[in-house]
Amino acid sequence: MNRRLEIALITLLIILVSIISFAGLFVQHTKFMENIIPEYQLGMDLDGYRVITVKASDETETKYYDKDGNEVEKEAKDGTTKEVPVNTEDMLNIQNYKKAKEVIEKRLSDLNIAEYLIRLDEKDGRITVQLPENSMTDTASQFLNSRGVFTIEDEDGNVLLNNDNLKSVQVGYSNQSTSGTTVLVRFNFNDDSVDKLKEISNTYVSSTDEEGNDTSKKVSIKLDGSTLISTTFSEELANGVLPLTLGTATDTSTLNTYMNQATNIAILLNNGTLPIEYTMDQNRFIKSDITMDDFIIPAIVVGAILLISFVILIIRYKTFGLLGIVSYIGYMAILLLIVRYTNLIITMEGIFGLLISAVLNYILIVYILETVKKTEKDREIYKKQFNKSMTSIISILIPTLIIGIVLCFSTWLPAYSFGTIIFWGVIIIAIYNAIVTRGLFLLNIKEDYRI
Amino acid sequence: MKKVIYAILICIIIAGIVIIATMGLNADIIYSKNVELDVYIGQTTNIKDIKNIVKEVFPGERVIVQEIELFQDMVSIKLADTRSEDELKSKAEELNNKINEKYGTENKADDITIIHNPKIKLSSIIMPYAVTIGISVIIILIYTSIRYRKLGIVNTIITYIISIVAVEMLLLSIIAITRLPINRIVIPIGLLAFVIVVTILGFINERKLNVTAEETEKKK
Repeated sequence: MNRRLEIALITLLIILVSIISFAGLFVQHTKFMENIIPEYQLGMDLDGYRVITVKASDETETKYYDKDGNEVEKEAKDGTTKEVPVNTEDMLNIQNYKKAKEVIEKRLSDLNIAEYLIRLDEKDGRITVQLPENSMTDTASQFLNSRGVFTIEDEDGNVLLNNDNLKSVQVGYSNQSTSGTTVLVRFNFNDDSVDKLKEISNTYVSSTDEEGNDTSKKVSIKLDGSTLISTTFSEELANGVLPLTLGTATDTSTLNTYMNQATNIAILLNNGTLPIEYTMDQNRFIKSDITMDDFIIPAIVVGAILLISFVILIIRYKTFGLLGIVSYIGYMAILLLIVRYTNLIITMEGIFGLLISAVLNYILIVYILETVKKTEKDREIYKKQFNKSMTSIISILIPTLIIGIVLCFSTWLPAYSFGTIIFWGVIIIAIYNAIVTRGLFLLNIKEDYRI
Repeated sequence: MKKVIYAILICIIIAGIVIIATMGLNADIIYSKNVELDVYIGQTTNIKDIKNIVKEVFPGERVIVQEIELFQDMVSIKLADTRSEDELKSKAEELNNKINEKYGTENKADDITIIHNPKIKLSSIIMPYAVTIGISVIIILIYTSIRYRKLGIVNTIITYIISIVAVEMLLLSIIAITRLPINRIVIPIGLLAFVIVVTILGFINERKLNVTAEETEKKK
């Protein structure tokens, strides 16, 4: 095929990809045209966030006393009642506020909330959390004011075991049942409580009297006062582990629901209890203060720099410079398509990642163009020199790639966003330029073009 | 000349460290203690108009105006928490009057919620990067000490460590000295500086490596 035609075809292909990447690909969908290219996913800084504020509760609870003044569970005959605050004055102190913040941070971390900002008002214990708006936000909000108080109580409300006796809580599942997969929460008790659990499992068992009436002594497993289950034990628990079956499922959806419930219990109990009672004060979405208008000036500056850079390329390298520009635009188009298709969340750090990738690619193209110049447009020398230059440039880019790869493992969204974009940026620089840019320049070197 | 430049840079870094140790860094209102005025307008508004009104009420101040929820009828206005409660109420009154004037509403200044937001610890924003950046540096040092072993392993490692630390410290010192607020772009700029340093050092070392190779070839 004619070389000029090949160059024209490659250029057209790059233009097509660029149009799709920058403008989108619209198809008729019912009455409307719809862009089938995925939208950019924006982070908290650029899109908006949920602000949830919890404050120390000022509610009161009713305490019941018998006629002798002893506290009882229910209203007693001739007894008295008293309204007492759920948070007593001695509970409302800075240590407890800090502890509460710490517990909340641990919970958010276990929930894999990739980005959040937390503020603590040390005067009144008010905690404000900024969370990204996604499918996890509502779940996360429940963890901000749930105390995580675990108790095993007898029928009279006496606490037999509580958080202090717990070592850890694990989520497990079993496929042994014929009716599906069973999801379990395993409460692992600490060494000091193993005997206590053993005793409880031997005491609270199913039984009937001589007349066949149920005389079973039941225990209730409670979380924040809500009963998870009231049950008896069918076997002795001698190893300090209490398994609690949440449910058995045959379909993925139900199984996921049980798994989520089990995971939530584990997260709540593995990170300690909130030392004070919190209530939800505010829960609302706030749009980002960064609007499209804020991008106009930076966009003009970046555009102007790009334009100047392109003009320099054309003046210095003529047609090769022009092909370099075509290749450069194609690189950016492909990088942005990857950002869209991999559902990467773009944060402020991610934008800088894009800028770094753009600059690195420009440097590489200049490097290659210098190679073309030095080879005096001899195809064979060009091939050798190109490979040599590519080896050098890849060696230079490897530290940047290392940064990208390591940050890809970060659980902190801004770092992850930066790392992932840098990672793809460098990978595409290497692959795309080795194929497209090299090919374009090679096609532009005439076989008889020797000095 | 080089020595003079190095001396100036060291002075800047020392000055920066002293300022950070004594005065700390200047956080932007998104991270510092701030006061938030939540205004329910009651009808669809244009955020640009609200921003203009806010500029008139709080001239020359750094103010952040954001829409609350998606109905465009409520805004949050954040500014530095430097005013007394009475001054804030008076400003809220002025703000309310201007909004009423603009939109023909009859909202009351008392309905403007004033919230004092505590600061966010800057360490909580920086720390998530510490481990990953630390690991990156270690791997980069291992890689460069292998790749540029002909230039001297110890020399390469020292050059990389000093360059990375010096550039980041210089950046931080400039921010501290100029009292530039720590905002959302400071960390990305720090990351950018990190990438620039390792890339420039890469170019320098590759060039040195080529020169060494050429010299060896010439000797042969």
